[in-house]
Amino acid sequence: MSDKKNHIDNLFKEKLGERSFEVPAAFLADLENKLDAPILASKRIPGFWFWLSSILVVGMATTGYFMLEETETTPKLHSAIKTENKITTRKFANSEALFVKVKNADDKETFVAASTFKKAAKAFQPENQKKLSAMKKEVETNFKRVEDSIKLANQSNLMASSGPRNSSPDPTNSGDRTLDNREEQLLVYLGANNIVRKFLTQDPQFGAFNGQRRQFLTDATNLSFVDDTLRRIRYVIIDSVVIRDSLVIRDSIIYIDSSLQNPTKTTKLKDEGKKSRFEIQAFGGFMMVRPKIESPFDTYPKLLKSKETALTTPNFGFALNVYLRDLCIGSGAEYYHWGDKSAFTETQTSNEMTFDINTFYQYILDSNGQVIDSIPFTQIDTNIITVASTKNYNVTNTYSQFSIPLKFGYVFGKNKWKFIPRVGLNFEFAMARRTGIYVDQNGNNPFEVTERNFGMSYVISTELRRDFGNWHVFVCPYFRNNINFLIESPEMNRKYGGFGTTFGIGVRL
Amino acid sequence: MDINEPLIEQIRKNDRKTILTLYNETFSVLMSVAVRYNNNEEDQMTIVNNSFMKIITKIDQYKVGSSFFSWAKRIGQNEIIDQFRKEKNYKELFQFDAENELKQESTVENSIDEKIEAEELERILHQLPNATKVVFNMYAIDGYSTKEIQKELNIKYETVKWHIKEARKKLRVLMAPEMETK
Repeated sequence: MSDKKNHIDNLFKEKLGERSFEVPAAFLADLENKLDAPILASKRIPGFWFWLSSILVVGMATTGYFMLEETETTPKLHSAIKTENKITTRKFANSEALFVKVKNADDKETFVAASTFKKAAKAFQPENQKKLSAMKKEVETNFKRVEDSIKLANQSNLMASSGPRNSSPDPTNSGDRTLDNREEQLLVYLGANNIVRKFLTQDPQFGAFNGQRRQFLTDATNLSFVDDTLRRIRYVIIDSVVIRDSLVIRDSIIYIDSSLQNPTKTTKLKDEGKKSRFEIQAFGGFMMVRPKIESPFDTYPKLLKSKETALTTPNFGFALNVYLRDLCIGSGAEYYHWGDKSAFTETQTSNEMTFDINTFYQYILDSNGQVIDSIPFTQIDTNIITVASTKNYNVTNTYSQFSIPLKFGYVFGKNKWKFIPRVGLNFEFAMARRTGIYVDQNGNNPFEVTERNFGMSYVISTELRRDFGNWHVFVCPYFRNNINFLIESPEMNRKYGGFGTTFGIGVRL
Repeated sequence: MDINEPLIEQIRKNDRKTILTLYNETFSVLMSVAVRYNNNEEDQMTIVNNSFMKIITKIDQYKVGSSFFSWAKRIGQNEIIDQFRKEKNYKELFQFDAENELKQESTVENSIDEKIEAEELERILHQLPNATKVVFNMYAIDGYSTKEIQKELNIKYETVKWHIKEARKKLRVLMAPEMETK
């Protein structure tokens, strides 16, 4: 029975195993078409996961944008505070100042003036901003003072108008100023919170800025004076505030770097003192990859590991980060490789037949014992010997990935140096090279495996950065690991993990 | 045709003449595999040409000095197995009623005529159910072991054995008329 089984198997193997065929024209035409578009054919259009990830990135960016907008326009400071972003700029000779356009008591649009302080500017630099709660409290207190001030001023104004005038009003003395232009008064008072109080209390430090004497900035202020002031200071701070029908309307704080060296560089601050912001980063680096192998055959992973070594692969990409105060959400795109370096020996055995040929002679003797004839005999001995030949191979299996990450981080550090630990997920899409070669459980017969189309990995990173204004450079060591198997085959399943470092540059948008 | 480094370099450079020469050389190997698994010419063309495209795109992975045609054949076999796996519910094709089948015993004890033509054997082979045909092809002709088939197709060991046995039984039945006509 067993012979019959083998017989039918052998019959099919012999007859159908190796045959000769002519190439049909249709086959050749089809091949020509494939050869004409090899790249298109090999490029896969990612499906569901690609679009999901893309939507995720766009959605995140849009959400961040609207969060930013909402933070700027939502009145949070006081129930009586409204925000009006009617801001315009007026250019000066070599610098740029900001003026806030408001409506005056006659409902006519006008520009109200800016407060200008060097020390004040320092206090308003982003890293010196107070916490939101402290800011709120302070501003609310100031509003109350404003209201009190208005009442007092009105009372004194009434008293002054009812009593005799001893001298003409001095426009440079706050006590002598009338409150006809409340907008301006309040602007000056509230404009820079505690800093403005110094202004009103005739802080001598301010006097140093206008050279000769203290001077309010009003609609009537000579622009050359403003211009001259701007030339000598680095920062201008404006806080637009108007009172209309006892309602306090506060605009956002504007912070300007108006130095001559960089006259148009501006940064807008929100009421909270910090705001959501975007940044973009470009980076490149390397990763040392190691495989993690599972197999139903106990000794197989050990065998493979003994033949494989870590592979160092390059990576590059860009990241788009949104900062919500100290929290950071990031996405972008990255290109990197998983893989391994495998060295193995293939042993091929073949049976070879050898022949030992021996010739013997049979001699025919006569009665005297003399040889009268000889008959040669040839004896052939057949030997089958097994010949084993080995070949050494060094294979580098790489699996290229296009990845869309989603990362979450927290910013430590308020100065130029910052430390940002992050955790994230990578949505990986297989790219060009998708197959690898490995030996079987016996360390022989190399076979091919194909990686999966889509996968996920997690990443833990720590970014160390140094800010240079809006720009920054960073170094970011990280650990990345497959969540699911990159390769699944009956013989084995493979994941990859690796340590790496990226170096990059970024800019705040 | 000697597959050496200069030839591989020509393929890398997408030299059409070299690629077509290689195609002509490799065609019989790939077609021999394809015709055993599929009797539809269009499917055969897909298997052969897809396999060949893999050969030229992965030519870097070929180790100069080893048997090129064995490597090409392996790619062809993998292509067929991949295609087979892509079929929806392909595992259901392997399901069988074990109890009923075990009661059946082959009563056909034909002697086999070795003079039967390859084309005729091919026609008979394609009369097997698809799953049985695949398993028999892999086992009897391509030299896979039962365990390898079990792993490649992700089916039970007993299922593999059953399909091999079933293939032999059915082939004997199918070959009987051929014997009578000869």
